[in-house]
Amino acid sequence: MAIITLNSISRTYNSKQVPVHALNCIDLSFDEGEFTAIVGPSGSGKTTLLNIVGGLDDPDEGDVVIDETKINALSGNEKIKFRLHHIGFIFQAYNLIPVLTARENVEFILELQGVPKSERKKRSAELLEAVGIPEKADIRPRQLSGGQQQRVAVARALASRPRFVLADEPTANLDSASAENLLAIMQELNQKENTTFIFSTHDERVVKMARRVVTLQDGKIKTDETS
Amino acid sequence: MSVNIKRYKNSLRQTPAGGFTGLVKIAWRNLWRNKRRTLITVSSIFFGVIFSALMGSMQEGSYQKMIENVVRFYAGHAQIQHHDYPDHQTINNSFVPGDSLLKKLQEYPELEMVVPRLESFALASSGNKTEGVMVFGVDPEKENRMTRLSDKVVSGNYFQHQGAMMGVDLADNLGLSVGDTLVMISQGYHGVSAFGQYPVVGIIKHPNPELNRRLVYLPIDEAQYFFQTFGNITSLALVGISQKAIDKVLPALKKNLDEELTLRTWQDMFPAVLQQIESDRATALIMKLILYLVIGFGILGTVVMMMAERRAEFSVMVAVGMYRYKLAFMLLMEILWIGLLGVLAGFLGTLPVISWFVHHPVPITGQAGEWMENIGFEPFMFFAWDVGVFLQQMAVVFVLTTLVSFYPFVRAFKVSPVIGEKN
Repeated sequence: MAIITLNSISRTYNSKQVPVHALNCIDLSFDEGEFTAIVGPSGSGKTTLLNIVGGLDDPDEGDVVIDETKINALSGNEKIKFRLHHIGFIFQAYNLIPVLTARENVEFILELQGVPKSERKKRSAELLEAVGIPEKADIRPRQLSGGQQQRVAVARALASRPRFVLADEPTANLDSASAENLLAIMQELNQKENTTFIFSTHDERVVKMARRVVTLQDGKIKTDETS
Repeated sequence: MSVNIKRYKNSLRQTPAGGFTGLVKIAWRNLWRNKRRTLITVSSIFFGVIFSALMGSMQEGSYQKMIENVVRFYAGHAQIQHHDYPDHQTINNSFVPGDSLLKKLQEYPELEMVVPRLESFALASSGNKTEGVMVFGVDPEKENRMTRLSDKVVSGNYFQHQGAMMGVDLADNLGLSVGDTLVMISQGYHGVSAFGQYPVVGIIKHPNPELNRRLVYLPIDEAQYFFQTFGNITSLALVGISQKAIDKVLPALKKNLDEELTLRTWQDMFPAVLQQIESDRATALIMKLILYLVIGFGILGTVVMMMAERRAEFSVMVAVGMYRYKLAFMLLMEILWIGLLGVLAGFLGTLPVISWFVHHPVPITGQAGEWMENIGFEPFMFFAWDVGVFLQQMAVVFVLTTLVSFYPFVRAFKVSPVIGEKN
């Protein structure tokens, strides 16, 4: 069953000067538990698509419907709340809060949700265990390697048990071993918790692991293949 | 679809908003991410508080000294005079300080001293030289307690019950020295002729050159005899234990005075001193405003840089579900932490610095010092130990920091959740 539906999504940047059509009338849907890679050359619209699905950006035309909620109709604050409760984000540059430890970074999302301290501690310990770095719980990001930071980012993204996780080039800054480890962890979480993962990526390893690969070119869907 | 949006909006209202305690913690930790920058900003506030408090303390110190000069060394906090004396300062408008009045004044513990004076004018001569002089009839003991007049004696002795003391320049002009005789004539009470001759027992050097040229002190009994006032005085100077204490009792004092008498404060008698203080305060305020602007823009510069450096971080925070108002709160806390640290450090730094200057006034040397001496002031920069001044400067600098924090506060509401996108 589709939990995310994109109806005729278009997004144009610089519309008054030199218009760049980042997305051009995209129709797409994602089912629960999918492990999808969105691929395409630079400038094909991958990040824009993820931003719009995640409610970070609004389409110029079309609707994004998640769990029967048209998120582009929500106000700014409602979108923030929606993201907090329903979407996990993983960024290319990890983007952890530098002054918080690994555990605190994971708990940060839960704290924003108003989850009690004991529950936060339990969940963060669970997740850091799941991503394989329980011993790094009290260490700050700058003392972690890139791969370890991205694992914390995965744990943070999953902290609130979101329906789906959006990952923008999650392996771009990682070495091969770290990237493979991370992908294995995400695949396991996808299978164990039935969390939907949507990646934008250039990484062949991600593409190989994905069960569905959507290829974008010039803001349009070129191919949509499910293995 | 609209039904679903409504249902979702309702669910938002039911979800508790958490994270403020955590935000205070993050704000505190953020301060120490870039220690050097934080320390520079805290230092700018620290020095701002110290300089502005030092400036304020120096200002208040000089005013206090100015007032002290007027109050302690001349007029007292207030004077009781004959009702007509302020407009016509003649010996005919003198009065008898009756026992009941003196008894009433003794009832006020706020009054430290009550000093009688008889002031008028005379012609003083020696040989063929004549000078117009101000005659001050004073109670030698009380006057000395109030004005420490004996400290100004440069030749001879401080008088007891007889003889005259005179300003050093007047003595020079008349060619008199200790042991010589001063002759004075004048018009006494209700036009009687006044004539007297007095041995010069002491020569005084007053800080005010005009007084050095004009001043003759007589014991009050001698002066009353000279002017034939027989018990009358022209003023009763009142010195309180403090300005605050005297301000408290002035209304009651005024109320209890006989109709023929009036009570004048030093502010009534010397409005020019008050005006000078006010105009000086206005000038100092401009200087302080410049200092505050420098501090304010210093902090603002740091804050603008910090906002630019951390744009991506703020975008991520909003993207993962942090409300912009919480982000604004966090940034506000960061700036307020900096402000609080700077202000507290400034306060702690101010105490020893000002304490030092209060006990070691800065001497003013050279022509400036001479000029000050010539106009009757001690050639020192005095500092006041006034906690009110420190607190005021702390409050102003803290308010300034709070104002600066509006910038990140407002910018936080415009943070885009898209990393790299301009707000």
